[in-house]
Amino acid sequence: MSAERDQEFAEFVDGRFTALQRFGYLLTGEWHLAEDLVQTALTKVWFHRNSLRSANALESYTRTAMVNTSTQWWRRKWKGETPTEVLPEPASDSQYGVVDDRDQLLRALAELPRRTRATLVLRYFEDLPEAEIAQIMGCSVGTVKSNISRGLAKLREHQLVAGITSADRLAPEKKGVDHE
Amino acid sequence: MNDLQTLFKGVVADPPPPSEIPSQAVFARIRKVRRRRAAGGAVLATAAVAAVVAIAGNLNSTNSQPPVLAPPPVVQLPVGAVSIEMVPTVVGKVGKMAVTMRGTVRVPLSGGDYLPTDNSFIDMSTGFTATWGQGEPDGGDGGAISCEGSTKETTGAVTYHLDPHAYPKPGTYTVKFAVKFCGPTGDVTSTKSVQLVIK
Repeated sequence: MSAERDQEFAEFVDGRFTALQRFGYLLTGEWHLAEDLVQTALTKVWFHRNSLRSANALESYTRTAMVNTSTQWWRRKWKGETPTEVLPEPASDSQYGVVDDRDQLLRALAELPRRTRATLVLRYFEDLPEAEIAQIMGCSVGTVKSNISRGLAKLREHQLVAGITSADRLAPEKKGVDHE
Repeated sequence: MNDLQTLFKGVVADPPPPSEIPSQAVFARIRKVRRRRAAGGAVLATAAVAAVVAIAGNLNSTNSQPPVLAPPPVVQLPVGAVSIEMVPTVVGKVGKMAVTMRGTVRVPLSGGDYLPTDNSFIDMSTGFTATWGQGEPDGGDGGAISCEGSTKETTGAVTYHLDPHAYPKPGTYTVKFAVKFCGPTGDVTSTKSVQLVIK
């Protein structure tokens, strides 16, 4: 039975790793940290696997563990880097516009509080409803709404989304989000 | 390019392949945690035996009163300040350092919410720096967390292992460690240093 469950868990890990790694990248901004985050979260999940009610809960619980770990993740290591108040300008602004957008999105995300960042990723990347986000984040729906509102406001301040005034343009399919 | 979801998907379009087979990497970590827990259990068991021996030594007869053991020394640090113990080990020219921190601190906030306190005590820290007396310093920060407005306290302890440091030549080096936790009026920095002899 234990070997069976280990096998099931291994299949889940190998099957869902890339998807979880993508999620982790948006939470951390670095691929190697994302991989570390996924492995850390899955290790925590394994020790709690007996309390999971179903196999379907595994992925949801893993995402919860990833969010909790990333928002608490203290070991944002540095090696002699010097922080600056102003981020350097990107090298180009036209020919590689798509790359710049993505780069700027990552920069903007990095400026957000971690729980706000996680909330935005769950909402706009994972496409989860607010109630499910609240469950994953362990907070109320109201907190989710205010985090989304604060996060979007910060993104709008950023050059990338400076021209956006309506939250609907960011996520046209979403209604009922408490945007300013 | 204003759709946030499209941007998110573009950002993660090309993930690198995992550095090792994911399930094998995860199970390797699980085994490591199990070993660590087992070792912790052994230490507790040893401590329990030592306590029983100490108590038994204080009993004179079946009518003995409960033994009175010397109370542990009480070091009252202000909230936010932590006691630091540094235990170095040297292997060849590589220095390693286990840093144990303990104390009572304010719980930092992230995005207006308190960080959960049921994880490692190190998560309560807003950052650390470590210098090895030579070469690049080590360090980390707590990310976008803040002490401002915190009124909640937590007490805990943690042992954190610095990344090993390779020295280029023999000598006596001073390793300094500084860590910040939240106190009533903001960050409180606690420091400690030890000397490391590299032969």
